[in-house]
Amino acid sequence: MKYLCLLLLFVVAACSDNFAPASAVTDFRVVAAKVEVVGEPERANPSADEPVEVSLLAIDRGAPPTQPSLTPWPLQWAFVPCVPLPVTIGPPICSVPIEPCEGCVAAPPDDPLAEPEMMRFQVPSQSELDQVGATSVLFQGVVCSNGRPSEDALLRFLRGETEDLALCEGPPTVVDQAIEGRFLTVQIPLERNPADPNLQPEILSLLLNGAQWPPPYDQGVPRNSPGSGCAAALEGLTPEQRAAHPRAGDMSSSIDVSVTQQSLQTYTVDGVQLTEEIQVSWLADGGNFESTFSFITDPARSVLTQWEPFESAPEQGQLVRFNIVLRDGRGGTAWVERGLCVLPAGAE
Amino acid sequence: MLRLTWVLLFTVALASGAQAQGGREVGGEEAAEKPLITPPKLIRFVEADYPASETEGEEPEEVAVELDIVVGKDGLVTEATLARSGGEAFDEAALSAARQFVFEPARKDWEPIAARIRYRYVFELKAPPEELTTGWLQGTILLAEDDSPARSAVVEVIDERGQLIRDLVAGPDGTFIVTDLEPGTYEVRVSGGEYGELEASEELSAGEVTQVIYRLGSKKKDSYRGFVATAVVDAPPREVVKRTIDKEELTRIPGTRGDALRAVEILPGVARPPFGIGLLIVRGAAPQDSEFFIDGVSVPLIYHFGGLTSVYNSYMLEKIDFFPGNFSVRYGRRTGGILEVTTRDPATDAIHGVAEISVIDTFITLEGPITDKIQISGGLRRSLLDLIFPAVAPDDIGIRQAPVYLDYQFKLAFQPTKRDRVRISAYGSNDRLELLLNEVAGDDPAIRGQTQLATSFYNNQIDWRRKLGEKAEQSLTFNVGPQKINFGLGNSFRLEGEFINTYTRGEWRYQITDRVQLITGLDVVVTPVDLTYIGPQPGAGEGAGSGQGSLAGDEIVFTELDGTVVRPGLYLESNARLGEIVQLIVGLRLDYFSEIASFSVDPRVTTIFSVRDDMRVKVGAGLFSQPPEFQESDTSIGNPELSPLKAVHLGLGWEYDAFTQARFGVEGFYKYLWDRPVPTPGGIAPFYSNEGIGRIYGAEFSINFRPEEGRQYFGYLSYTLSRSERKDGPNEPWRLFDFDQTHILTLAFVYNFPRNWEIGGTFRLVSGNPNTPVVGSIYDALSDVYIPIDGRVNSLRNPLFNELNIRVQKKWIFEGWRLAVFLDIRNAYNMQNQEGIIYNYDFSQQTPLLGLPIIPSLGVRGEL
Repeated sequence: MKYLCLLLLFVVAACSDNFAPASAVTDFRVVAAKVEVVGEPERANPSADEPVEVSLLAIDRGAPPTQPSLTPWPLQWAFVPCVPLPVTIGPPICSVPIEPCEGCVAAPPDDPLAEPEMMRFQVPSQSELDQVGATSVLFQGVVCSNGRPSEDALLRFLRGETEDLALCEGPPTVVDQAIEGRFLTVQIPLERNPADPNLQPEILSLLLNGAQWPPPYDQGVPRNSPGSGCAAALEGLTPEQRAAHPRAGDMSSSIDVSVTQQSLQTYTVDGVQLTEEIQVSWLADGGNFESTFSFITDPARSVLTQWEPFESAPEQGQLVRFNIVLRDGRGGTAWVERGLCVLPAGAE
Repeated sequence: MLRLTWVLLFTVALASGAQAQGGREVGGEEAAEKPLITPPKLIRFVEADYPASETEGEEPEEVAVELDIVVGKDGLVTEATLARSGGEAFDEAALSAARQFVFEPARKDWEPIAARIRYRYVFELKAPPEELTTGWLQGTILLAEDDSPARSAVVEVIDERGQLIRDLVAGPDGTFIVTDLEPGTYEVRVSGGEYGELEASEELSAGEVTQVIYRLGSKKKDSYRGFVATAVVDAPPREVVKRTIDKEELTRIPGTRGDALRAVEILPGVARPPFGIGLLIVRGAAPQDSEFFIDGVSVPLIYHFGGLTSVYNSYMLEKIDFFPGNFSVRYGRRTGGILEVTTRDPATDAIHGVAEISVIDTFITLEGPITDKIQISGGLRRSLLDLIFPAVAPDDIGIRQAPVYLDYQFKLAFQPTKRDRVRISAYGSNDRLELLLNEVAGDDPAIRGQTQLATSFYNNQIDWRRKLGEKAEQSLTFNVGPQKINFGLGNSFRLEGEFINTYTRGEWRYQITDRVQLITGLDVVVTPVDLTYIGPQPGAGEGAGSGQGSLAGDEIVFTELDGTVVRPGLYLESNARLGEIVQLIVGLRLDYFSEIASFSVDPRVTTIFSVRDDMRVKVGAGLFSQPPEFQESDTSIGNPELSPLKAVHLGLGWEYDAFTQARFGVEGFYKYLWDRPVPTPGGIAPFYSNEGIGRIYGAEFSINFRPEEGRQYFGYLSYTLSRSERKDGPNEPWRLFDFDQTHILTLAFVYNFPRNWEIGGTFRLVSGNPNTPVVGSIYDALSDVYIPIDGRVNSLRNPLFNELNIRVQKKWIFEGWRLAVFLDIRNAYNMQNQEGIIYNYDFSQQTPLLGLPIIPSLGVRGEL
């Protein structure tokens, strides 16, 4: 029966054109978590007794040009680090919570544009991990956009008293805007080989149509940039930089990401030497990506995809946020954010 | 010592049909409208002692007692009464002996029927007794095109010296009988006028009645002989429920594209698999709980690519027996149902063959005699899908091997002596598909790279049946066959296995008395296994929930199995007739499963009450055992301490031949399962436990209908009402089985119109399968996928399923061969039945997963 399900999975994957792809950002989502060993941020996998920091990448479709205009809306979250049960089927389950955890339950800061604090905790000792045979620790929780985690509802769901998974509750931080939430789990593999630790992948370059990403969104997109009205931000750019932003109805643009050579590490499992493959997740809140996932393999160290803009854009331009997340499959993560202002067809 | 001789004198009157024929005249054109009748044949005579009181005084040369004997469908005497007395003492002796006679029952078309005969029992004082030195030839002549009787065909019997011994004319029903022939070889010539002629060579033995059926073609030439039977005794039915599909109907069920094994779907108790894939779901049992046999040997696969076409050519099959439960101790290691396929022996008269091409595949079969004792047959089939697939596949899928299947069959039949029958067969199947996904398919990062599916098996089998004497028979079977499976999905899943299935069965039957038969047997399965599995922890085989979610992020397990599984089974069964109406079958089976070092003992009992000649009631109860699946007992990913799955079957059935055209059947059943292997919570070691239980109950109603004579039409109506539930642990609630279908209604009807047109339809109305909703999801940041959160398992149900399949065929009959063109349409009105639910990447949206659309299949077939 399991093999039958796998075959059907293949068929269903090929037949799921009814839905917007995962690369299309249409609502609030958490799309990545980065784990860094305190003091050694390039290391992705902690060892026992080491402190770690966890940061999340939360994204949303572009906010309307209202006041305030935030993408995503103010966030609140509640997380629990824990030692997991050695389950092999179903979602991961916490066994023993790890305490304390700094920043794991947080309300939005007074300055909504301020960077949120990292969440920090300490990996238990080796003896504690050996008691349950744990080879990883778990970080699970809820992130709410424009609301706060609903502890009661979660507990009722986990106890089987209801099948409604209501993660967040009001009142909404921004009135008249929806409250959305995501339940996520971050599995943090422990370092197997301290002599050759697993490192975070590192982006070497990100090119648009073979050239450097054009300003003004070549280092990210301010959180308070509304979804429309970006044309004003292009004033002051050179004609070449302005032309690099696509027009509505244009042919596809190519986006090329490459990584450093050190990003494709080799490692050994059960005596077999393997080389990492970097999984690239493509995300945009407008237009269409050719695919949701790509893979960077050795020796190419780069991968290219196509992004097609929409057919029409408002006069003042439509801002598209791009988030590109890289994963090495062993816990190492990197991400980058860029933006493009899509102008109407024929705009100068 | 006084000896006796006897003379057989009989006339046949239908015990049940006489009333039905009522006031119909016999003779003229109406005489043509008679059923195909085969009279009963005495196979076990019981000698009566010459009454001692009559041996004094003047010795009569001969005393005859005439008896009226009713022979039941099972060949046993149900009634014996005096028709003409030969004296009280002789009457008593003759009646006493006659009640112990055993016959091969009379048949109407192919169905056994009760029959009343007049029997003349002669007491003769002679010494020494003469042995019966002559043989009889008894036959039926039919027209090949529609199996109707060839009336007034001329039959000539010529001896080895070329002398005409007898000439006679077959009766209106096509039957003839030639008595008192000296043992030897005779040439039989049949002339059927415009339907051609036939010559056959028959060997007659002393004291035997040789039965033959001849079929005449049209337009002068190339008639052929159907089969020859001598003193064949059908084993009395041992199962509470055994359903047999007639071979003439196997390839004509609409919607099956002529595939006989798909015809099982119309039988009561068989649930509809999703998408019509080849899962056998019997009375609420999981597919892995049932088993397929070809000629007594278990086969790993019965369909190509999960249900497209069966692996054995239907035109080489004799019959299909389906046991939905309470099956004989001959079968073990399963708790669900048994599908037993019997292949057909090659033709003995001349070379015959079938060739067909359709949109899906093409095949050819050939068969014929090598000598008068050796016949061979062979078949080969190949799919044509690989010619179509590249044209419809998406551009970003690299096709290394388009889906292709192949199957082949070979059989050699040999009768070295009259007591021996040897069959040597080889058959196999090969399915292959290999794709290369250059880009990730959809939103699942696990579905990329190389995807392949390859399955193959090849069986080599020898069967030897030998009569050890008058009362004993031996049957030996040996089969060895390699099997391979290779299933891979990118880097996330790989299953590679090589097996060498070795199967041996020895069975001995002994008629202890005329009323008691004993069967004992030994069947041994030895399978060297070399298997590698890389993928997620397997989990539950059934009741696993929504089955949604990506393989990415699943913890990968690795296991290698290199060993040999040995599963011997020993069985003993007695079949006893108690009194006039009760038949009691008691059996015991003992099995051993080496992979879990465990024994099982399974007693089973069936009682059949022949209430009347046209009515039977059957009651059965039995214990059934089944070993765990390989992943459940594997030392790395399973629990080798598991016990076998157990089930008790209870059944109550009633069969009634209400009319000659219709047979009604009602079966009630209850099954209880325990020691079901279920995953531990979270799949934590030891990964599986025997804490699962189940219960299944229901009733099946069936009507088979066909005309009194000929084959102008046939039909099946079946309805099943049932419930199948499971409990996956002591603290878990009862839930529906994955394929619980409360209502299953099937109506199949095929009608032969003039000028060789045939039109048929099959309509199915079936409850939708249960499914498990996804009520939420958890984002897995490590793999960038969403893990579904399932609601209560199988708490939803797909909408009612309905489908109409239509088959239209036109046949042309030429000199010595036939041509047919057929159109088989599955889902004729293109009903969009829901088979499940598709979700988006984070399970926040859903849409119905629809089943197969209308599928027409046009084909051409030639038969030699």
